Amino acid sequence: MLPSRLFSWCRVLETEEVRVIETSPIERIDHCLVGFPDVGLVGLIAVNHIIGALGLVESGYIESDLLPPVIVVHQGDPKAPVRVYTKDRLAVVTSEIPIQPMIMPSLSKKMVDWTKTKGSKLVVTLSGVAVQNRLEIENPAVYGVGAWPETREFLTKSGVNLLEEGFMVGMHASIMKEALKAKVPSLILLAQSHSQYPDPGAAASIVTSLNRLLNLNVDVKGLLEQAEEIRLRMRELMQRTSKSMRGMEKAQEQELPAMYV
Amino acid sequence: MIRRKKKTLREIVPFGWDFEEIAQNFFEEPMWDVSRSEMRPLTQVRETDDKVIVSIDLPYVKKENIELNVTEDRVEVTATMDRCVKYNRWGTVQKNCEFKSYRTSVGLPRRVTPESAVAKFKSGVLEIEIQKKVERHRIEVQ
Repeated sequence: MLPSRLFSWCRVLETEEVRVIETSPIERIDHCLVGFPDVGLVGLIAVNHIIGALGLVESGYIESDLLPPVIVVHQGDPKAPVRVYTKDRLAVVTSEIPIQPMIMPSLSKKMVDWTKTKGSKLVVTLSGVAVQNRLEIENPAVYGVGAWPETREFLTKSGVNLLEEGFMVGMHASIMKEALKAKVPSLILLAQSHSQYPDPGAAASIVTSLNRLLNLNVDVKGLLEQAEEIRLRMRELMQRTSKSMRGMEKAQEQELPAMYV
Repeated sequence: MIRRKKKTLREIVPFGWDFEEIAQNFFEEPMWDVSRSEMRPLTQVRETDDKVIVSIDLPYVKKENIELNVTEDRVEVTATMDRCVKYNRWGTVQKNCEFKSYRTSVGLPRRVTPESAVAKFKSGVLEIEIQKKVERHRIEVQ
């Protein structure tokens, strides 16, 4: 017999208790950027910088019984940790807490369904790929994974190298899976990064690639100037994220896939 | 005669609960010490066949302000920041504190030869490579 706690989890999963709550109406989205805590906190740092640089405003949050009972307080204002920001048909979804592997499928599904209802033309998930010799790399390279031939062509035309072989583990992989199922155009950008240290340099590389892909015109100078402050400020989230990554076989990203056809 | 079997904690805790993780999270130390105005840096330890490699993330630190000690089973680091860090809006006790330095003591997974340690500091990351202590016996293959 299933213990009651596990049983209730299963029930919640069945009822798909993930909701996107819009605090101000979001009419239409062209592009949706996703940056969650992961390797080097690259995606999170990148979208945080974009939110500030382009002046996106908080427009909603994600609510779920599967998320831990956490509230984050900013300037005295309590907020949900997983939030949505928008401006001029650009949306950003980000989180101030690591997402547990168990929640990823239903959260990804909800996010992809939501972007589809908003008419999104492209979902771009930003993350890092750990490299051991990161200290020797001055300008981290960015690799892209496109869901379809058209998105791959879009990446190569914009000067982004394609990741041709490998595993991806985490929220970006889960979102890509759901986007493929829902036929929502999507791609993943991965920057070479420290695995367990916040990496603003890698985030700057991602933003530079996004500028080329989506004509965002976001300056990364400020991001690089604040690099030390960001590394210091994000230590605790990085520590918590590293712990969470250990629970999802993240090391598999360093392995060669077995199939060779 | 009735024999009572002693149950382990693992048997008592319901299936699906990772007791070790719960305990670890519950007793987790914060990454700062207000009484000493210190922060605990992020650290990473990895191994090769013959070395243990420890890296420590030290933003706002200059090479000359790092004190590093290596023993057979630990790496100890204290480092002074080149500016004090204060977060006026963070928490309750933290908002009154100026953080000035880092301190950490990293346990090593294998015994090492401290004299063999080589340290470099680049882009705010301290990396220490230490040879593992090994006793080798050459064995003739029959």
